[in-house]
Amino acid sequence: MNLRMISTAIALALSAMLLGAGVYESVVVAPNLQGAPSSLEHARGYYHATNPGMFFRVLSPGTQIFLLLALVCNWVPVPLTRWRLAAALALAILGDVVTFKFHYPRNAILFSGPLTWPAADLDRVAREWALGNYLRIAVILTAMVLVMVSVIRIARDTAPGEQRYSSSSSAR
Amino acid sequence: MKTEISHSTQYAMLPDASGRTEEYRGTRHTSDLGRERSWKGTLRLASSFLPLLLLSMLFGASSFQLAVDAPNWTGVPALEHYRAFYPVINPGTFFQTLLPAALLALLAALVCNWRPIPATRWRLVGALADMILVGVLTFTFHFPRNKILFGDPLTRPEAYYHQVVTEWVAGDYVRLAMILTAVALVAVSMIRIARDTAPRELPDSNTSGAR
Repeated sequence: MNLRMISTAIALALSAMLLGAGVYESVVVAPNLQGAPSSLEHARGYYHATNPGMFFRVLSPGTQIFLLLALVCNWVPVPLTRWRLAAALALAILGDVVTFKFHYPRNAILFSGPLTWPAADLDRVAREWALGNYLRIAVILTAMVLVMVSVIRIARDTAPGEQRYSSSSSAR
Repeated sequence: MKTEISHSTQYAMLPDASGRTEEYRGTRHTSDLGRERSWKGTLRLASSFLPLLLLSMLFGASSFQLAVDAPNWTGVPALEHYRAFYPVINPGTFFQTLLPAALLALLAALVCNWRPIPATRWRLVGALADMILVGVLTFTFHFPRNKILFGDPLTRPEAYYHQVVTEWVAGDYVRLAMILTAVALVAVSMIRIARDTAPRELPDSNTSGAR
């Protein structure tokens, strides 16, 4: 293990966590936002101590920092890995741009503004939120696959002598 | 270059695509052997990729539940809101799909990587056993507490529910640690498999000069 591998492996773990939490939100939380305003009243009443934003505001920058670290550590050795990690970092940042530009205004309507809008409009906003979350998941999944391929490439590139082009036949 | 193996050289020791030697007992072309090895290598690597993806997602979703959901289970009104908020789909629906999928993917990875490297085999067996224990823990520890918190009538004193939530959270830390162990075991296995299935020539690499 070396810094190249460790930094990329941590970036991989964090981006996979981000993906898992994003999918959880899409599968479990988003369908239950339908049925406004009572569904939103229950959501507000329930998320009184912590809310999903607190989780993502820690995990998302953490992922980006480790992606940046992985990029720095792998800048020189393999150009292809460099560009894969750079693309993964760009996608992780894009995911946050989507969050800030698309989801935050809808979060404000769904979870903090007065629930005076017509129910149909609130349900439409919840549907848009869910659709935007699919886009965010696709962006994170692409970033994760790029990091995964980078890990494989770095693993092969940094293999110790006895594991390189290994002697697995001896174990058969 | 294709090389026909004659009957006279049928049992010769030929170098294979990864530079090792093994007894050759057929009449297939060496290029066919290379293609077969490449195909098997890809399958081995892909089979380790999928459980890593699913287990990491499970870890992320479980972390989300522990960090976001559990702190909100304070007091009977919050539990009532929680029950009312999840009438269609609840977290159980998600985990009851993802956990069996991860177990199946792990089993497939184990089958695909049973023979080549003993250390990888046992790491994957360890990860599979670990995840089965996660299932056992969920059924025996979390399900009874889920029933108290999210199914039964909320007629007990508030302190009782606080105690149940505290136990649930403690159990979830154990579950998270177990999932993280499985993620680490599969990640190390994938790295080992990646090295084992590496092509002889890695294009676009200048590591020797860069280090």
